[in-house]
Amino acid sequence: MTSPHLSEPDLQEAADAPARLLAPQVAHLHGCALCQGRVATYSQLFAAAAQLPAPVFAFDLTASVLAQLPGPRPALRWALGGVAALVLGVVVAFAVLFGGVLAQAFQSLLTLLGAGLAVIAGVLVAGLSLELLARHRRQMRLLTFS
Amino acid sequence: MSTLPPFSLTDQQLVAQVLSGNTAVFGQLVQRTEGLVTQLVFKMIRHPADRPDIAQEVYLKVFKSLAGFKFQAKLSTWVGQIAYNTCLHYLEKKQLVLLDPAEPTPADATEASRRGPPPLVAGPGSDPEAALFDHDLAGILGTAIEQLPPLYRTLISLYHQQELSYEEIAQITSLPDGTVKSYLFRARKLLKQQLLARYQRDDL
Repeated sequence: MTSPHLSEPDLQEAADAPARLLAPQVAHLHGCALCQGRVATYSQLFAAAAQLPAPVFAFDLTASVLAQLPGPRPALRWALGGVAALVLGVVVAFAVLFGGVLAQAFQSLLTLLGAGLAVIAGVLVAGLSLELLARHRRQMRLLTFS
Repeated sequence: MSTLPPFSLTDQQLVAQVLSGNTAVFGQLVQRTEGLVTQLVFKMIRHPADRPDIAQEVYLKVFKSLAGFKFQAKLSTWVGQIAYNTCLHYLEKKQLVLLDPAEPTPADATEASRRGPPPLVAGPGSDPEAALFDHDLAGILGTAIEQLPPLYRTLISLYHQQELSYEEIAQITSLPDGTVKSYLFRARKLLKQQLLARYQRDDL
């Protein structure tokens, strides 16, 4: 037996996952009682470590955590939908109430089209703003707890 | 212990249900991962009085961050990562270092004095391994692990007790795989040396 004894990492490897040892190390181990003893020591150490009792809390962690959780919140998309519906409602109500006046004001078709586009753009901008706000809040929340 | 439905949900279903507002299902998530979280908290935090608050803080963070979890890792690994970072933050706040030799707490000192000196020494001519392992190795090993620096005892418990792979431990601790392996080797060697020192032996 001329090869050197197994290094400390190799001894641990032999005890933990012998299949990962290289052939020369395996050959040495077969013929070296000292290394075999050292590997056996680690094997017993690892077996004992695996059987150590797991620590436990003296209180019910699950119940304690559940008691601290906030109540269910309405989903964000429902809130966004509600706001969009409200905006739409306001626009429709405005059109119904002041339709005549508006019609007089916007005498040409082009003007009406322009007004329609302006209303749609307003609704889109409002929706996008709300979405951006929601995304910002979500990111801030993630940053705070990452 | 709370009575919750059996673990019938997959991780994806569980997360989806919690996000849809069914917070009671979050209890299942806690039960699935509390072994890992408890192990991390106990190994990284020396002061028993601080552990319950930290464990609860971990799960409140998990709950608040759940919407951002995209299954890029196993749910348990992600929870473990939050637990590890929370403990790390605590250690930083207390200006404690992960790899410094740990100072025994008053509780540890009391425990050590209660146990008294190690009851045996391998005599001349006796088999040192037999001397070491014929005795209550589990009890002695538990005490020896407590004497390791926080990071070392955390790695030992994650690998040997929680049976996590090097890759999973690397994900939880954000350390490179090679570093985890290297620290684990050092931790085991240190552990063996501590045990041998108790038996006044130089080598096995």
